[in-house]
Amino acid sequence: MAIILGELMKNHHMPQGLNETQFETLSNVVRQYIQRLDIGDDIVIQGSRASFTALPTSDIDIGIRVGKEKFDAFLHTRFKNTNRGSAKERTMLYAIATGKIQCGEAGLRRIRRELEKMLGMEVDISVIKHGGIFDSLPVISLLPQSH
Amino acid sequence: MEDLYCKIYVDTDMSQNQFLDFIAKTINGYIELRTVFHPFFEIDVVNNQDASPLQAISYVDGFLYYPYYLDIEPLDNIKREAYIASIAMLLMTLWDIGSKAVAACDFENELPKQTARANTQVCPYKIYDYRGEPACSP
Repeated sequence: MAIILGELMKNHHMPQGLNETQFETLSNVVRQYIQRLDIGDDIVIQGSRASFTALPTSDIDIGIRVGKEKFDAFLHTRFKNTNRGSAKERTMLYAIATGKIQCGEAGLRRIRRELEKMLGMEVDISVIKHGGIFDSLPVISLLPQSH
Repeated sequence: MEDLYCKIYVDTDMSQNQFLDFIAKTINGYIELRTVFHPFFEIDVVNNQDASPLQAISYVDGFLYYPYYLDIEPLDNIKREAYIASIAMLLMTLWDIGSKAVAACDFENELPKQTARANTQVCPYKIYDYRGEPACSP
């Protein structure tokens, strides 16, 4: 019984549908990429792959969680040339309201594509503000970077 | 350095695979997973996780709730003007098939507007379609 429980606990530190090798590779690739951007290192798996409710077709949600100051600074950098009254400005206001900077606006499209190619499933990666509506449980932290 | 990333919110009844095929045919590209590759740029077809049919029609910013958005980025070997003209053509093609499409990018004021196109097809500069025919003029 203890062994079965131990295995269950171990497996619940892994996102649903990923094996250990995939999760380790994903963690390394994302951490290396994000380190260069200096956004933050609190990176988690969220959504159905963390809550073990994923369907075979579900994507995997990766959130880079940052504090308010970091979020505001990053938002300012990514939307610095936004014109007043534009659709991009509406997108920025939506990011502020939801506390989430989506993949494309965050400049994370290339890493998303790399991960999708590697895993063969859709990936979403975004910057999430601590305490925002997308900063929700359960989450699974990415593994520490291995060298 | 200018950010040439562009997002286009799209309201269409097509499934994601149908939409991918449509985009690939329109730009003469090829599909890998949910990305359409063109020699000069790449387009990801993304299911909008915030999609809401009700909010899409009732809010001023309804486009934020359209079922899809396209994440578009140029490759290094394309000229700015050609890239923007390609996005303009894609927008007009989407409008031609009856889809709603709204571009959100730093250069969106250089793209045609849907309301203008419905009557006069006004563009900031001359745009040619994929057969080389003029499609839209200032």
